[in-house]
Amino acid sequence: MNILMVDDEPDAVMLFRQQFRREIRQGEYQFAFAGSADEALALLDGTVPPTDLVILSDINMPGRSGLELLAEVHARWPAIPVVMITAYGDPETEARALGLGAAAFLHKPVEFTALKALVRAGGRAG
Amino acid sequence: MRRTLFLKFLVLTLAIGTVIAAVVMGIYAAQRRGQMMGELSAEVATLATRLARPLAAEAAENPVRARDLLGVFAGLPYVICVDFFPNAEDSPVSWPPIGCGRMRAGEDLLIPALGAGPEARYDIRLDRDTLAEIMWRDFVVLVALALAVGIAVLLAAAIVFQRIINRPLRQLVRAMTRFEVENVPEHVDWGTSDEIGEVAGRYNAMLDREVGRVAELEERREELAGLVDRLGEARDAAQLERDKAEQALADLKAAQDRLVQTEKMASLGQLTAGVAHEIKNPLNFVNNFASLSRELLDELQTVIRPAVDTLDEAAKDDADDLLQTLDTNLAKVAEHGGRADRIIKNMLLHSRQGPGTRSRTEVNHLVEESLGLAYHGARAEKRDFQINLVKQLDPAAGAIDGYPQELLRVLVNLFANSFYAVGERRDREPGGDFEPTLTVTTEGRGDAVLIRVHDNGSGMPEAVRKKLFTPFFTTKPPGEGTGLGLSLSHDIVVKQHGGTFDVASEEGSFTEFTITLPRRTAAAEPAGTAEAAS
Repeated sequence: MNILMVDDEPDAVMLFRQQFRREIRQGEYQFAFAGSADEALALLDGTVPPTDLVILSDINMPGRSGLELLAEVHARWPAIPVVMITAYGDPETEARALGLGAAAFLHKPVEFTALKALVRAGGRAG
Repeated sequence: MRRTLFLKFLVLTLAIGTVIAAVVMGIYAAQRRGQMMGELSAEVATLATRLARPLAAEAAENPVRARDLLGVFAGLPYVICVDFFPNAEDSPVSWPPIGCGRMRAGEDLLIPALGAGPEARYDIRLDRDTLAEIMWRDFVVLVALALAVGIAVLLAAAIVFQRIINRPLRQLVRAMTRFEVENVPEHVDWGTSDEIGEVAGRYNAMLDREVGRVAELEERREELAGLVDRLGEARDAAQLERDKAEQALADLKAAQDRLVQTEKMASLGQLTAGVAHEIKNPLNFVNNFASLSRELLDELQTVIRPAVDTLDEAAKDDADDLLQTLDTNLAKVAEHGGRADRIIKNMLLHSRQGPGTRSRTEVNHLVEESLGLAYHGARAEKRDFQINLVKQLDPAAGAIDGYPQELLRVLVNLFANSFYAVGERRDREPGGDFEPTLTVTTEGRGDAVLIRVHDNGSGMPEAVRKKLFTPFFTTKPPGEGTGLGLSLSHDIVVKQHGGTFDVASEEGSFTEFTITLPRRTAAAEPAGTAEAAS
């Protein structure tokens, strides 16, 4: 399975890589990283095949926000589950994200056990 | 006035009467004098002529009788001499024979018995002085009579004057005086239609007009007094309104100042929120990497365990010790990171907008959490802050259905107030054995839960207690309180949760707040005012 992480903090990728180190070592997941929404879309158009893919995206980013990315991905590739991860977990944003078609909405600091279960389930919550 | 007028009248009447009497009597006396003389002479002459012949005849025959007849003349005082002419050519025989003079009655008359001729006659001589004397006597009597009549007339005039002029005038004056001095209106009436009667009528009419005018004046005066009263009332009302307006202005200014302060606090809250947000991200990394590193260290220990075991004893101990310390340090990083995370969460909680979410909340848990927050807040503000915290939490307090974030804010605010109050009392009683104590009690009561916060701080007077829940009312120095805390708390407890919020206090001794919250909130309406920072 492919995981595309979208976050303007490079350290976030490092953190996720370390968290998923066993799975990556065992070849269960392939990690791709994008520092912005545009970069993520470019990857989706090119190198990363948009199949068997879960996108984990931050919301507050310079340029286009995670919610804009979510909207575009959902429009172009409705099959790709997008999990939103944010530090600003107000109910309004959560409602907006879910309305735009987010697969799940997680708060920082991320509970990795829950995230792993979510990813294993193909990004679908529950 | 009366006397003067009367005197004038008397003098005038007397003068006129005297002149008239003098003139009349002068003329009368003059006329009478001549008239009397003539008349008397004629009378005597006639008598003498008529008596001449019989007397002459008688005298011849009866002298006594003649003498008696002559005696008639002799009785007249002014006859001084009688001349008898027996014939026209004869010389007269005069009587008394010794010459003309005053005759005396009873005196022996000697009548010559003479034969009288046809032309016999008597001449009788009169004494003018005696006659004048008689007349003067008459005149004096006349004058006396005239005077008597004059005085009688004067008296009558005086009486009439008194009746028709003086008495009415006096009555008028008396009436005027009574009206002037005693203000008693009194009509005058003396039942005549003459000028005096007209004066009375005019006076009565004038008096009526005057009385009417006085009554009208009195009415006007009362009206004026009423107006003055009303004016006074209006002035008082205006004064009151002005005071109110001034008070309102003062209140407005105070409210404005407090609003500015509140606005500052609100921006401070926003700033705090911004800072908290900025710190939250890196702090998340610290926490995440810390816990991850502990996991990695664990794995590392597993990996290098065989290799470590091959080392000599000292190096092995060294390595174990290092690994152990590293693990402890990472645990410390995670622990303090967690603490920082909680503080950030509270900062965010305080700046959060909106009423938050409604959920089921354990009351004891809520109390402990807010007490912890308030206590650490007080410690952060003042390093040496210390207080005895007594918790009497009823295990049966249970949960309520409400807005936990709002209630947390209420409790934190109450605890912070208590901390402030005990601090105040300690500042007032330095060196005393005052032990600041806060006791928080919970109590399950069937459908409701009671929370009681008691402190032994400075307390408050009745006046402060009454205004306690008024927005913007604060006893803290400027900059230290917005005056909104308790008013917002009241809104949250009473309006938002349908509970009760009571306070008891004694100045210099204690303050106790008692909150009861129904387990199931009836009024789910969010308190709109609760959005500002407390």
